[in-house]
Amino acid sequence: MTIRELRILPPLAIARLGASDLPVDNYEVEVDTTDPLGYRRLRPAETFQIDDHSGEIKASYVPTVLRFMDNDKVRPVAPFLEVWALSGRGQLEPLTVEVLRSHRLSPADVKWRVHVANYKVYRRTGNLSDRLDAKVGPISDHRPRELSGKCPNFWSGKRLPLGWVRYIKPNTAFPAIRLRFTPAHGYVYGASKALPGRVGTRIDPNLKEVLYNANKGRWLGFVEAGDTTSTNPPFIYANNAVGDSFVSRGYMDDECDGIVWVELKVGRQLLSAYARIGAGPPAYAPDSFPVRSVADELDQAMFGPLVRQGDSSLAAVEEILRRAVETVRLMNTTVMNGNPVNGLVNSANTMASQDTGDTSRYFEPIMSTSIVDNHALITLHQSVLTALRAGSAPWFADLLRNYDEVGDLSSKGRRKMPALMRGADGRYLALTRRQVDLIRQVARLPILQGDPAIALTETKAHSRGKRK
Amino acid sequence: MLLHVAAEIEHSLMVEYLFSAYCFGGPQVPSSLRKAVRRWQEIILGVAKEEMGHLMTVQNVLTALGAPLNLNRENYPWDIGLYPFPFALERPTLDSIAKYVLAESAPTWSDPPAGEIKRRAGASAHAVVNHVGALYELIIAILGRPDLIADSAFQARTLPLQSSWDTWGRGYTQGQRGQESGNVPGALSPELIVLRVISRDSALFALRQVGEQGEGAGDPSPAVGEESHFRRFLTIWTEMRQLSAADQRLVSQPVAENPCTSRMADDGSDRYVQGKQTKNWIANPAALAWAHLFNLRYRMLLVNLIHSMRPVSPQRDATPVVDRGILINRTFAEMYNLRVIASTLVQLPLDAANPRGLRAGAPFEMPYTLDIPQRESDRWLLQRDLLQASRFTINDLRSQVSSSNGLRFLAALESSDQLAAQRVDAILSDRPVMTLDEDPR
Amino acid sequence: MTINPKNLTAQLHFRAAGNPPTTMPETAISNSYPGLEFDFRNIWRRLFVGIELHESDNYVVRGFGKHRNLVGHRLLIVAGDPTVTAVVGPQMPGGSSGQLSDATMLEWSNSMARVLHRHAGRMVKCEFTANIEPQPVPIPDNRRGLLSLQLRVRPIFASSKTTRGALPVIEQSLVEPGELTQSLCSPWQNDYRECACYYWAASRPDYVNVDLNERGVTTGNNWLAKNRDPKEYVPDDFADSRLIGYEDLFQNWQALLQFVVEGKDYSPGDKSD
Repeated sequence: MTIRELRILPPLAIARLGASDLPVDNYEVEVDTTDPLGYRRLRPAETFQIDDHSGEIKASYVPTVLRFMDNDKVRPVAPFLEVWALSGRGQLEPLTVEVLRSHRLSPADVKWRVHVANYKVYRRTGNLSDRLDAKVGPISDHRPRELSGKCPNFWSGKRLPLGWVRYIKPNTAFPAIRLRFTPAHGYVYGASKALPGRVGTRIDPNLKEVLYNANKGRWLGFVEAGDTTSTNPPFIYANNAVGDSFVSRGYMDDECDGIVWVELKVGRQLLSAYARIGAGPPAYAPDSFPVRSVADELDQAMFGPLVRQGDSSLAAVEEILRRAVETVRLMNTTVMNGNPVNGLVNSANTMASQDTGDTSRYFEPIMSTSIVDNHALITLHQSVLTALRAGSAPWFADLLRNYDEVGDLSSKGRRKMPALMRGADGRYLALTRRQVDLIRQVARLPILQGDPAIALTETKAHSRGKRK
Repeated sequence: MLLHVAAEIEHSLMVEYLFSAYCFGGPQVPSSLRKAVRRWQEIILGVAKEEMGHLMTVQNVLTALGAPLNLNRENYPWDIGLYPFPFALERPTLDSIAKYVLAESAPTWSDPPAGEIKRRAGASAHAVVNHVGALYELIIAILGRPDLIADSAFQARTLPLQSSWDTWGRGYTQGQRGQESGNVPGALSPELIVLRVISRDSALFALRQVGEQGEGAGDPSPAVGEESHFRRFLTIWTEMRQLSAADQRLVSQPVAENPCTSRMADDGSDRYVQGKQTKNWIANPAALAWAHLFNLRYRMLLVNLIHSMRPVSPQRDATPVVDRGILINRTFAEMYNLRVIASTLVQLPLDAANPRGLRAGAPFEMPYTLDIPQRESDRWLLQRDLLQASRFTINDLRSQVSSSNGLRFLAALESSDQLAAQRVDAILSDRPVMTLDEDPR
Repeated sequence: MTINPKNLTAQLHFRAAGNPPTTMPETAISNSYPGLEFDFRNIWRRLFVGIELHESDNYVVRGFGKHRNLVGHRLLIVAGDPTVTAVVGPQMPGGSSGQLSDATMLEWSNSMARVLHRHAGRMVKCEFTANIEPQPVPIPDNRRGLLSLQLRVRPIFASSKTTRGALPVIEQSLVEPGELTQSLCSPWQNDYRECACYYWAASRPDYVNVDLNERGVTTGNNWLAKNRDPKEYVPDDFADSRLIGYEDLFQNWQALLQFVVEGKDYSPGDKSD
């Protein structure tokens, strides 16, 4: 086959921090058809075991028990990225040793480059020397490479580890070209004015290491202006409140995001592709999915806010509802509604208190206080799910909050769905326009999917024989 | 008493409208008409939701007057001239919808097509159709007179016992931009009126709002009262009238009128004629099983509704807030279940031997009594009994269902009933069954 | 196994062999305020060629070339679609809704969804405030006073020279390394303590080990509670010693925070495998 183009899949891979040397096993998350209103089930799945020495996948196994922890350390999520090739036949296929061989190439001809960065400090201070970058490559062998973060404002010689990448060595059993990104351990790093390690310096127990030279850069003691250029929300760095100011403690973490490039010279053509990676915190409820996710963002950015006729389905609506149940389940909705707690009004941080604090809307609970018990709400959502599973078209399209209704803090506006949650603009969460359109489209279908099988088979089973 | 009649009327209309709406649609609808039919369906469902609001508002007026609640239907003799028309569950036709138009219209309405409407409505009802608004006018007239009903009759302290839009409105009301677009294009989102009553004036206000939503603000001429029930039904009727007679039959399933779960005729036949009404026994065993489930869930809805509304003892706010929450949400859950089951029934033949004949429909049969026990613990026992009855009914039904959607629904319903039963057990485990003095703590 | 290069759905949602579901964007939240895995608002900053916007404000933070003098202006309307809306609500119990604020920013990803879909790669009419505006301002009734310019909309996704269609990866020039995470909390552990519970319960749980007590009421733990006994929800409070605090998280989040499966703390049998 001819290779016309390369792509890296997935185009966006998420790693999750953890200090264990054992990446978490693979698993599936599935709706339990015998208990469709219940939790999704986690089922261990095919997991690759990498040979530390050679960098090959030495085995693939299914663990018996799923463990997210390794004693007191979180097992990190370390994604694989695969290289795919667009063939002359017009299809994307995995790039494998054999495909390379057919072009008189070998895995060593594949070159990888990676650039990840953590610009959290730079974002606040605006100082280019506060950028933390780690670059690796070009690499063509299978040794692990550390993504060692450098920052001009660090103490000389200090590095902040942002993880590792490894070009996995393909073999007969696993011949595909892939890279593995392993995130960092999830430590906190800090800053100092005195040279670290000097006798008498106080050791901050929060920190893995002091890296940042507070004489060169302003991060330690930095105070965000809280003006138009600040992040929104502002002041979200580790700080000590001094009067009205939020004084930075000079902390940094080992999250990052960046780009992975792959390059291959095929004949005279230099083919390349890239994908994005990022490292974030663990997903602490692995059997639950957010009601609105980055995947929804990507779908809308790619395909637009309106769903093409025929592309919507009841199954897709059910999935959104299910995710809503999964979120509601893990929220203390009674408290989040703004109900009094033990008689105390406005005792918790909720969207209700946010509304009053941000605007001058008078404080009151969002929904009727009597219907927001967690179990009662789950029951309600489950009954909706029950109807959807029966093939019923959604009847609640008009209860969804439109994207431009986020400023409506009337009783009606606040009760629209999703309820009680905050959106990216700081006001109530709205689903993406595409998600809303999906539900609207399906709502227009007949109330119950006509199932000709009902009439026919049920009639057959109970026909009384010859008649009339 | 008049308020009781009003409550019964709202309940009856709601059920009749629901039945009518669920008949719309089906594979026989010509594709050019599908959008319109779905819109009509959604409009009528919206009207039914609003009738629910009326029902709740009337209950609030009753509560304010210290009167018992009434969730019955047509308990009083028909010929007292207050009910709009004899209760009938039937598929939507120009005649049946004309009945609804007329019942919701102002008595003075006479612009065309009032004449044809009256004729058709009369033919459908086999009787003169009365205006619902007239009853409300009568009630308002009586309640407005201090010499007949003293100010002290209106008890403001019953306010916490009344239903509020907060709790029952589900978010359905006019928004900042007026009435909003509804579940499907062309239908507006319903506007649930659930008003509470603390005085004569608030009672009159509430009843006037209800009346207005029904027939439009006073003046029945076309320009005014765009979203009234009268106007909505008239719009549907007018659009349907433009179809050919054949098409008019195709917009809804051929659902049998007044389907019922027992054979009532003495001669053992399936059709039972009572006065000018025909009741059709659901002969198809599968449909009959679904119909039993429907009736049971209808009963559960009413029990949850009454349970949530009536406190154990009027002197103390004895029902803990959280229990009401689960009851209210369960009431809504049953509405969703009824929607599914009703829609399933209209797809099934009334008689298995006649698969292309009439379809079955939701029987909406009332339980022999709507009274629920006085003691809180006894009420939860009733809830438990109903959940058990449902388990048996589902099991019975399951063996007769082969469609994947039907089976999925039953599986999910069973799961949700199990969770509900667990909750009831948790509540019951704390309360001794035999107490004379109910202490909520 | 093959994938049609035009099947972008399959590529966007692709799951590589051996990758658990939490590697996928389906598990990353997108109500970015600021976010957990990413602050996805950052992909919109360079939507228009020649300017750079704030990720969550319609404020121009940088301008290039002839657009240098747009810095400080606010972008109010693009191709007829507004970027702001008013905030309304009641100020008294039972009161009717009045205007509480005349302008609040709508998140880019929804407000510009139609603009992106219809006009990617093309010029659109962008209406800015005539002056520098340090505070949010509403769209004026008379729009003639606004500064109107034609700007090119940058596509979000890279494109394939070979198929001439879109690629599933976000265009390099739109977001550089470091920019998807730069506006997140620093360190992220700070956010876990601060973000309260109405953002991302499916990722960072709030209410766990939930049961029905004898009154039929739910009771459970705050996920950050140090002790799971007594089973009583402690409302979120930075200073409550019953809850895991900032220092606890910085030093030892891995040992303290619990994974939650089926709503309960997850502890699968013995530690050895």
